[in-house]
Amino acid sequence: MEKQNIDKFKISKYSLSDFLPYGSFILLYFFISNIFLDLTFLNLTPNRLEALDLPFYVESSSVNLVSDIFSAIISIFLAVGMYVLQKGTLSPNRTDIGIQVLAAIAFLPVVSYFFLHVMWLRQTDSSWEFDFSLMDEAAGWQISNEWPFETKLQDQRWKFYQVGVINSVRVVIFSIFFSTILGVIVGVLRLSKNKLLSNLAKIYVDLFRNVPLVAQLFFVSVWFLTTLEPFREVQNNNFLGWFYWSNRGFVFPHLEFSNSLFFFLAIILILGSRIYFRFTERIPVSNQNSPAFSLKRPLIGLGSQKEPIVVDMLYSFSLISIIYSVFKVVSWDYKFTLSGLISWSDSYSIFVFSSLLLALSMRYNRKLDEDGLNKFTDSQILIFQVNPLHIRLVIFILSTILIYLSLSIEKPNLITEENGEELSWGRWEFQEGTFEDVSSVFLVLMIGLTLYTSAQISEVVRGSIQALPVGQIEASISLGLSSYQRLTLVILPQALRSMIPSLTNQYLNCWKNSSLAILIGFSDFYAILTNVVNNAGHAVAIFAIILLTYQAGSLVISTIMNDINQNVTKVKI
Amino acid sequence: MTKSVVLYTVSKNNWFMKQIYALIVMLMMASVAFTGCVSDDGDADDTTVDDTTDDTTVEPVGEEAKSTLDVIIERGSLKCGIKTSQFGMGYLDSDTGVYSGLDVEYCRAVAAAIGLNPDENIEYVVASAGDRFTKLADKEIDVLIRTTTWTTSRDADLNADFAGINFYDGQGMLVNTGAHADADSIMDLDGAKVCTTTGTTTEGNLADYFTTNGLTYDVVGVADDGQAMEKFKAEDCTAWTGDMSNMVAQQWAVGNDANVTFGMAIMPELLSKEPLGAATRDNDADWNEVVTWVWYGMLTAEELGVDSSNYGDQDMENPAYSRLLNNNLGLGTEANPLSATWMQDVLKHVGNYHEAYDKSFCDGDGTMANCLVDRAGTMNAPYWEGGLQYAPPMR
Repeated sequence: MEKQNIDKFKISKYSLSDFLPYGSFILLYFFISNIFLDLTFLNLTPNRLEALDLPFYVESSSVNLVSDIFSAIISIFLAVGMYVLQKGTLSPNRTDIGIQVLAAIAFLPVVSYFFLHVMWLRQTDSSWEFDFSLMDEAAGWQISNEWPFETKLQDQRWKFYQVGVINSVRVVIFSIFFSTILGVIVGVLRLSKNKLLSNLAKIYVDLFRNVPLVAQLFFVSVWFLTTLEPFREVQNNNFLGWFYWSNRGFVFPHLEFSNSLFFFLAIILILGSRIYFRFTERIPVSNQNSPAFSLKRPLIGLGSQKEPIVVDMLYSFSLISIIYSVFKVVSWDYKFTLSGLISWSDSYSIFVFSSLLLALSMRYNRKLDEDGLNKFTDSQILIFQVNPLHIRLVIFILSTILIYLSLSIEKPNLITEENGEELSWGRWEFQEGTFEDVSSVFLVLMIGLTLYTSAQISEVVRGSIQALPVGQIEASISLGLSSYQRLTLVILPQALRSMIPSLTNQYLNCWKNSSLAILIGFSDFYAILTNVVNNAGHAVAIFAIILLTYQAGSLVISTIMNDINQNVTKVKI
Repeated sequence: MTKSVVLYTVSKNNWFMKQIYALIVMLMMASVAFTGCVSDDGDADDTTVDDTTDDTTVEPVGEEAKSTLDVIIERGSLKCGIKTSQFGMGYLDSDTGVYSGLDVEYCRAVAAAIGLNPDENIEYVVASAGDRFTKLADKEIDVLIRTTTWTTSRDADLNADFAGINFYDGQGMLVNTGAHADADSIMDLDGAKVCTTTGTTTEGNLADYFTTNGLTYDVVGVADDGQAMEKFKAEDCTAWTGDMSNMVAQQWAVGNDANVTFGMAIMPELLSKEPLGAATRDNDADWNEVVTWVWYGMLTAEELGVDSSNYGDQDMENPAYSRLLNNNLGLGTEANPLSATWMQDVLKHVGNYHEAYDKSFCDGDGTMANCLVDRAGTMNAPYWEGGLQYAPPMR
């Protein structure tokens, strides 16, 4: 009897505090939606949006009243809906639908405002026209840091954009590479029992993590400019005439695969022998119970013997074509057109297609691994009565010789005089084609990004290692593993599983932080495109390109990292 | 059992009634908010004229907005986009915190003309070469007076209308003579590494000039003058190009550094013509006219021999003086016309063009002594002395 009373009371209880959240929500929502609806209805007044041909219009004098009424209706509807939802008396299915309907209605003012306002902007402001024809016009200025292109004054802005993308990509690739190595080392040192090492690592992390990247870049930039000697001292700052340095950057000997035939012979030799060895050493499996067709293994019809060979061949072929297209990279001259992407005539398309092919064949190979078709014997199968190890050695030596023969190295040639006359140092230069250089701005950005990102990564590494169960380390100690073996065989492989999602974040940050290049005068695509905006306007269209490029790069990074993550977490502990 | 405020009791099954009740409470709350808004409007109606209520209730977005002049008067301060790193044009003395230069004088003159106090009511906003037009378009500044070159594409493509040209400049080249020992002209600078600010017209002029003359060069794009100065001092770049007035100022600034061991020279050629002017937003005619005519007013004052010391003693019977000093000639907006004595205010706070130039580039005593950039014989001389500074008639 008593219990029944309580139940009854609970259900019938309506305290003031029950209504307070709804009341405050409805008030807040009312005011916010009112703003957006005001602007929405303003755009629906007569003679405002030319593109819109509506059967009705809102008189401009009644905009306020109409928006007040509408926002009141919407907010009341929302509050009631939320109340009904939180009571939990609806079936799960209806709750789902209810949530979606409420969300759609809640965002209606914002969405309608956004679309109508963009229409209005496009009608009144020329910078909102998405017209990319200005990217076809001549850029009208020049940049340094343009490897591998040679830009001219008359080049299209698209070409400058490509230069910028290449610049961003290479700086980020190097930064990610070095910061990962540095980050892992520092992260491991941070956990070292050696007080000196762990404290040094702590100082490193605290220093580079707590100072904004902009300040670090300025610091590194000034440090570069003032520590290294100016170009006039370059004759004294060299290593046996092969390497030169000054505050303009570093100069390396020119390296060229001048004899591409030998080079490709070497590559074909290596990849061909790889296919052959994998063929001979593969343990045959009987392909019973295999389906006639599988979406993940479209070549399954070839049988377990031929299928892996074909996949291996595809893999090697795509690798060779990638190398070939990269070789031709300097002659890249492409536009983002569909036909250009499909035609095989230029090396850019070859690069794109063979990269796709490579990714596909790698994925296929992983599938084969999973299905147990890629199992190899450890025993040495004699080939023509010869130990395969010896054959491998011969191939290795042969390909090394071939690559050496195909290489030509030039010593950087510093020109300091002209027609027998000594030039003043401002006109000194290295002879074209005898050197490769890395500019100081590239190094400054790379070092800045590396230091900053590695400090973040080291904390990720430390966290992942500390998250491991202590038993793992104790077990490896009891197995008698040395501390190095413990690290590389037990700790890091397991820590990697929890590390990769956070690492992805840091890599993405690195990619986006590269936009700070503009501050130190490095021509990444952000700097170049903002310059285009400055010269030719159309800020919205150009910033759309910037957004899309960052988005594309981020997606590539996260796709690769997700792939790695899948690979690492495949093995269940 | 807890005793909470029981408003209403229903049986278990009376779910619908509860919903209705909740709805009524919500409606009451909403109507409170609703009536609150309505009564606000009612108050506004009492005080304002009917046809202006539409403007005040909903700020039209992108619609023919108010003239910037009205906005400034309402705000009570002028936001001026300037440069702070170029002595003579726009310079902030880091020791004293005093802004100086021809651009700053222009700014002060505009503020004085619209009835503000130039010493208190100007907000200087530092605009960089890269973001100045964005700042202008985003209404972060009211007027851009930052050594901005008037070009076709800027006028046409960007949201900017140019007003008075306060300085006729050309692009010059400052050279490290340690690196280019016997350079007498830009033709001797083959292979030079040239610092230039990205996003400026100088960048394009440099490319044009070197390409036309078949010279090779390496360009170092920098974000601002400070960075260029750093690179020039460290001998990373062996030449530095920019507006001639800027190069002169920077030569002076670099020369002041005791650590700099190399010599410097400015090449005689001008790479371009750079009319530096003020810019306002597009479709803001009233404001643009005010900014333009403040400048012409200062020139006219110089032409008539009126300056900050004698504007009060002029013969107002003379129509030319009366028009300049006691007439706004229709400048300003309907709501905020300029005062009849607007030029007197300008002269009081800033002076005529001669005085502004003297204060910016020379000793400032009115004699044009020790000028960083001479005025006589250059394009900035008044037209009656063969220069280009010419004001249309003020009538």
